[in-house]
Amino acid sequence: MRYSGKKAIKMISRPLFKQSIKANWMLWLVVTLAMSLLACVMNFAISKVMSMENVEVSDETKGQFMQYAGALEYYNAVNGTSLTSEGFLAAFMGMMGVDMTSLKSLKDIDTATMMNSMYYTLAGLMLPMIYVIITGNKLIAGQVDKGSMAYVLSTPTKRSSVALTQGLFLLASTFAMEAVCAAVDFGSAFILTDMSSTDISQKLILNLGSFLTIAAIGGICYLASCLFDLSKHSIAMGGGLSVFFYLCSVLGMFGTETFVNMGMGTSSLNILNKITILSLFDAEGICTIGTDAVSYDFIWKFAILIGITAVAYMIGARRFCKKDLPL
Amino acid sequence: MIRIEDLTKGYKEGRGIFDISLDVKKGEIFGYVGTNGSGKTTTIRHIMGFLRPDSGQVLVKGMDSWKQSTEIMKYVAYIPGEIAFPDIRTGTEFLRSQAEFLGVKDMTYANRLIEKLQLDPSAVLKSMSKGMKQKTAIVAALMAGKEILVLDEPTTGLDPLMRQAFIELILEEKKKGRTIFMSSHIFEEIEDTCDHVALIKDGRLVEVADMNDIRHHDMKTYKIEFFDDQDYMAFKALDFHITDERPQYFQARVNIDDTDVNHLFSVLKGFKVKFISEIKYDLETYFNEIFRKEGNKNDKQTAF
Repeated sequence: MRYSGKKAIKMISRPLFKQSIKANWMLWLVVTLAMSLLACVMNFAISKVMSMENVEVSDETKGQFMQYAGALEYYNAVNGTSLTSEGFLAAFMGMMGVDMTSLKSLKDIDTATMMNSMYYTLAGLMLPMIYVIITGNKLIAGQVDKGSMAYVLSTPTKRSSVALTQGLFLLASTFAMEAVCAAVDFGSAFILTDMSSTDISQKLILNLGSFLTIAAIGGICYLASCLFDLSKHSIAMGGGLSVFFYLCSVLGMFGTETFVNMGMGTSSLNILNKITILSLFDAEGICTIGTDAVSYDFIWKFAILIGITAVAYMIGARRFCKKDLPL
Repeated sequence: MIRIEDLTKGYKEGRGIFDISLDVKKGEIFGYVGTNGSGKTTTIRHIMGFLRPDSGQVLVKGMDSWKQSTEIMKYVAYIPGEIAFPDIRTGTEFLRSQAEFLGVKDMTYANRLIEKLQLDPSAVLKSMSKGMKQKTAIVAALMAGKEILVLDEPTTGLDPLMRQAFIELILEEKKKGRTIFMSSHIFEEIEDTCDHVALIKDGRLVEVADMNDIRHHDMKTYKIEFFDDQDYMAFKALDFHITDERPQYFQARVNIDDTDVNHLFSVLKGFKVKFISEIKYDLETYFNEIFRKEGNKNDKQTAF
């Protein structure tokens, strides 16, 4: 085992890894800082939402409601009708064109959960996605297109070692990015909110989910970078697919149960969730941890994400080792 | 050192290289000339193991250039035809990084090269002029002291003085016993350096010439101009091999074997000669002759 470990380390080209760090640290830093800031703002917002949810219904509100209820009862007693306050409300809302059932589910929505799922599966993915699209292209296709790869391959550096080094760099840099963001996320959440052990495990898994999703997107970008000799083609595939998945995910949100129940979407849009790999990051499922209705479906979805990543990296690296390079 | 055997690589629209066979011997400088798009770079990419041949093979030190390219790269240095550096800020950083790739620890030779080429490597790579970039690429390639040099148009962007410095460098490398494969479209530098020259056109090898034969060509061509028509006509009547004549100037071109030069001069004593000059037999003449022999009239004009 020790031998194979050494061999793997030898397969990594140190100067190439250094070069990749030098060429990409700036973008990495900018994205990581922006993401950290975003995490802080989100935690601040969630702390506000949580304090709002804990508001007690005031006596004044109760008194007002009792007055209306009394008025209805008085009317019933005089006219022999059996009108209820619920019926009144339904009729009132109906006149305004609002469905009572959706109004009820609106009350059931956990705002914090929804914000979490929006943040982790959509808003928080955008910037790291841009990072992997740009960097993924730059690591292989960009250098083949420019011709600078010639300086690497005219030294005794194996192609497989180039593929492995660049793949490792992409994976490691996204991991470092997500790790820093997770640390900031935890830090700010500890300061701003009261975290229960459930919250902690949820947050941990949500951050892991972010990393796995970005790793899969990164895998696709890496694959595109290995397949094509021209930057524009590599970006078209890597960036194009990523943006497509993202758009499906945004529109697909209006097809999710939560949004449909709120009356803010239609289930026909749910088909988009079936074609985007971003939906494999099941934030809502993860947020059931610690509740009675806990669903562990998110685990096999994670497994698929890992599978996509592994396959994309493997095919990409193999292709790069075998193809013609115009250097 | 480098053996190319029936190398074929086809691209769309009939482009590519076809049935190229070459043999580059240890310690020689081998020139590879041809127009843009004739297939020089494609051939070189095969030597470097960047491209997989459709058929045929390239052997470098007896190793298959596609299958064993990494092993081969221990012995081969390369200057690409297109200069594009990695995303590194300055020339110094680039050279240091390249040294790490090559396992070069002692930078003495690199510094000597830098001095010789009058390069300022501390400049930012992106703001370097074409010539500066080329010099940086030359230093990066030569600093490891590898025994085979593969150079794709290495003098692009260099001014005439630097080109001369480069040629001196190349000859120095040859003295050290290096084998050099160099493509170019500038005949002069090929003439000044090479031992053998291969000409490629439209992906096919036209000719491999021995520069010695060209340098010491035993057929000489003289251009002779006479003062008057009388002498001119009299000269023409003699038994010389006249290749070209311009009666309006009383000019004639004579092809003559080296051994007969004295005969020519003694004959000319009796004529009033305005001037006589030797037309140097060079690579260009040689290749044009080949095209002419092939009888392909279009090629003659478009060759270079």
